Amino acid sequence: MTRTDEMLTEKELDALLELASEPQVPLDFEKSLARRLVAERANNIVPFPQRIKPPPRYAWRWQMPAALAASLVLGIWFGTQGSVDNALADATETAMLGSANDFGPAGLEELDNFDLGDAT
Amino acid sequence: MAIQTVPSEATDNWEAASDAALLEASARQVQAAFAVLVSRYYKDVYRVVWRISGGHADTQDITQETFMRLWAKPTQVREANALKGWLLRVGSNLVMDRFRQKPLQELEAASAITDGAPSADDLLSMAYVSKTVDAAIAQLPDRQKLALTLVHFEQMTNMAAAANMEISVDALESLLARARRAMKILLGPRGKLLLGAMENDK
Repeated sequence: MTRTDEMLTEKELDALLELASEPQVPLDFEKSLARRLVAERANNIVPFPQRIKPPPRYAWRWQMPAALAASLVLGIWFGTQGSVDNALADATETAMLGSANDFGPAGLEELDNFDLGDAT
Repeated sequence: MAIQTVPSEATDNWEAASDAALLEASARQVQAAFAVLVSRYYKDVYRVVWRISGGHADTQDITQETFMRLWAKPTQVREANALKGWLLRVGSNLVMDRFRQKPLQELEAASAITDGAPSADDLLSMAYVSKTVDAAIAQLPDRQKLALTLVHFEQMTNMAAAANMEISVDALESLLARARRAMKILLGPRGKLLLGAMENDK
């Protein structure tokens, strides 16, 4: 901590600031800047950016409806064949059997053998 | 084609032109007009950049960068009357940006000063005194350094300096007060010693 009596006064600080170094501005500054601007200009010549062409719209104008139409036709065809219904039915049956086996009425054996005894 | 730095008839015609006219001509890529702008203000910009960067070797590079930004788009200066302020602001911002990324490790002024007690020869050396003051200035935070530089070294009024820094006059005065207090602490007893030696030497 600096003691108060060691602190510079405003006048002393001003006197010291007067003694700060003076920057020496380079004499060739303007010529140097001119050279740099010329160099920058030479480096900055860039071609106009090429315009990115969007994909031709006609390419997907018929592809998207065609894909939708094809999926619709397939859906109708599967529907009329009944193969999807059969597949669904099989899957449902398998799932139900599985659940019956897995989650049967647990604990019924114990309930059958349970002796109620004489409640009276 | 280079900027005309050699006086010519074309350049002489621009010498008396206002900043507004020179800016307008620069926007049309009239190099002679831009050369007059450069010669009018480069010393001011250089001094401020030098002071804020602590006398860094990049001072010239940063000052040039400031003018290159002006040349690239002179129309970005909204008020031609405040061109000097714009240049100083761009220059000081460039210093702060550059050394925010790369801390001031090559601080020439500060590196020359050691923490040890100065010898009798040091005390009588003006160069030593100057470097001690430079080193103390270099240690100030950027905003305080800029406020002190504009007001004390560039002789700007508080109002002009505040406008330059885009802050209120009260804020500028606060920065100045903190800068001066910090300088007193940084220079401390050594400052009194240096002043005493200088007085005795007279």
